[in-house]
Amino acid sequence: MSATWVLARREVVRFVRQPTRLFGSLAQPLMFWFFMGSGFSQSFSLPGEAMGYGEFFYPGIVLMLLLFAAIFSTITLIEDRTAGFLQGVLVAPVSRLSIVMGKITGGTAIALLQALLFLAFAPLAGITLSVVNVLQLVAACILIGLGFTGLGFMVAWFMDTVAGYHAVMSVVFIPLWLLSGALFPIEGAAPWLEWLMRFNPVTYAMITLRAAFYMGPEQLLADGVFLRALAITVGWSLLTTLVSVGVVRWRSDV
Amino acid sequence: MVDSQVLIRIAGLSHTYPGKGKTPERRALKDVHLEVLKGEMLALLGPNGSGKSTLLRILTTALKPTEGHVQIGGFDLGSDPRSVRKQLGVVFQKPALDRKMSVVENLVAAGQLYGINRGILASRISSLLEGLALADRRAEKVEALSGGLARRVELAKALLPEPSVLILDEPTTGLDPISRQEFWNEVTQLRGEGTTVIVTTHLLDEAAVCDRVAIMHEGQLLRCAPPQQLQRSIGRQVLTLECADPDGLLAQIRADMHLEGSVVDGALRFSLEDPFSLDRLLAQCADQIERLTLAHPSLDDVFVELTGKRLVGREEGGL
Repeated sequence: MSATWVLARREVVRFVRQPTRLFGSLAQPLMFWFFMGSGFSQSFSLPGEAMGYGEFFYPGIVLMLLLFAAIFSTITLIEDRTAGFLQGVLVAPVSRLSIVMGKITGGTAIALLQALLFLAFAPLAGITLSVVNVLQLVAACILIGLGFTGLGFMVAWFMDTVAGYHAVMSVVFIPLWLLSGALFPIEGAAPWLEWLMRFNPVTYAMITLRAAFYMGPEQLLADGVFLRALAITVGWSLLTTLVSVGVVRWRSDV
Repeated sequence: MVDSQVLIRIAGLSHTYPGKGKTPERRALKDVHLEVLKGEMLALLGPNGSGKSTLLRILTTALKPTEGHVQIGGFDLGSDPRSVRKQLGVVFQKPALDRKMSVVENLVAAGQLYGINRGILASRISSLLEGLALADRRAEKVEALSGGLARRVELAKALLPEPSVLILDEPTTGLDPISRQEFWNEVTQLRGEGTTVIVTTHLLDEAAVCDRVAIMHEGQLLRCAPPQQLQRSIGRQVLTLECADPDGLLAQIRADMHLEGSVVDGALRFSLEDPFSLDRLLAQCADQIERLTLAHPSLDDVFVELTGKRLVGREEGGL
C-alpha cells in the first residue's frame, strides 16, 4: 500500500474522530454566510443582475471553507512534528514526494468532505445545483484544495509553533481570501484594490469555483475568462505541490 | 555471539549546525570514525551536547552530515538513503506514535509505510504484541497507555520491519525504574538474534550491559571498547576523597606519598594501579578527610579520566 494512501487516510481518520472539528468546520462557514449575508443584503447590488448578497457570497464561503480546511489540516503537520510522529515517517523508506502527497491529498479530502456537506445548503442561497454542477464543483474543490493545502504545507514545514502559523494565516492566508472576489466583486473595487486582486492567484480560484456553480461544461469550455482562471489555478496548485516537495527534500531535519 | 562482519562504517563524520540570528554555528560532531559489527550492541555514552544524538540522527537519515561518509549494510547513506532506511528500526527519544490512534492502528500504519505485505504484517503484529506483553492493549489508544507501555509499542513499531539495525535514542528517558528495567529486558533479548543495536544513553548502567561503549564528549568520539576493558584501562581502583580544601590536600599527598590525582567536582580523585596503603594515608591526613571511597573504576571514572568532568545525570539512576 502506498505511503501517500497511508498518510492521507490517517488525516481523514483523525478528522472524523474529532467531532468538534467536524462540527466547527461546518458551523463556522454557515454562521459567516448567514450573518454577513443578512448584514449586507440591503446594501449590496450587482450592476445588471438580480443576485442578492446571500447568493453572491455563497461560493465565496465555499472558497473560505476550502482555505480553512487546508489551513487546519496543515497545522497538523506542526503538531506531528511537535508530537514526534513526523520523525518516524521521515526515517521510513518512503519517498519525500509520497510524504508530501499524503499530507496534501489527506488535507484536500477533508476540504472536499466539508465542501460537499456545505453544498447541501445551496438551495437556501437560492442556488439550484444539477448533478453536472456538483461534479464540476467536486473537481474545482479538489483542484483548489490541492493548491491551498500545498500552500499551507510550504508554510507549516518551516514553522515550529502553531501560534507562529496562526500569525502567517492572519497576514497572508486571510487577505488572500479577502482579496479574491469572495466578499465583493472585483469589478467596481477601487483601482488599486482591483490591481491587487488581479495579482492574487486565489482570485482565479474564485472565478473557477463561481463558474462551476452556474455554467455547464459546454459553456465553461467556451468561456475564455474561465479557461484562463482555470489555467492559473492549475498552475499555482502544481507550483505549491512542487515547492512543498522541494522544501521537504531541502530540509528534512525535523 | 557477535559476528565479525562490519555492518556500519562511519568515516570522518562531522556535522556543523548553521548559525541562526545571534546564535553562532555549532560544530556538534568532529571527525568521528567508527565501525559497528553485525549483532553487536553498542552504547554511545556522553552527556547532553556530546554529539551522540546528532550522530544518531545522521544514522537514521534524519540529518545530512556536513562531512564524512556512512555505510550501513553496504549502502551509502548519502547516495542511497532509502536502502539504508529499509534496514533501520528506530526508537526516538521523543515518542513517534500517533496518540489519537490505537496500538494496532499505529503498527499497521508503520508496517504499511515499510511496504510489508498485509498478511505478513498481521502475523508480525500479533507476534510482537504477544512477545512484548501488549496483546491485551492492542485496541487501546496510545494516549491511554502509561509511559512504559507506550515505549514498548515504540519498540514493537521499530522491530516490525525486522531491521538489521535497531537504533535507540535515550529510549528510557522519563521512565520509572521498573519500566526502564522491563524495556531493557526486551532489548537485551534481541542479542543473539543477529540484530545490531545502537543505543545512546547518559546512564552508566545502561551502557555497561552493552558489548562496547563509545564515549563521546564535545562532538568527539574519545574511546570505544568493551566496558570492562575501558574500566580496566584506568587502573585497578579509584580513590575519592572529600575534604574542605581539596587543592591543599592534593598538594600534601603529592609531596608526602608521590601520588598523582586531580580535583573533580570538588573532590580529590586518584586512579590507582599499584597496591596502595590506606593506613598510611589515614595516618597522615585523617583529620582533613570528610569522606573516603575506594572502588573499582566505573564508566563514570573512565569519563572523568578522559574529560576531567563527570557525566551529567548519572545520579538519575540505572538499571
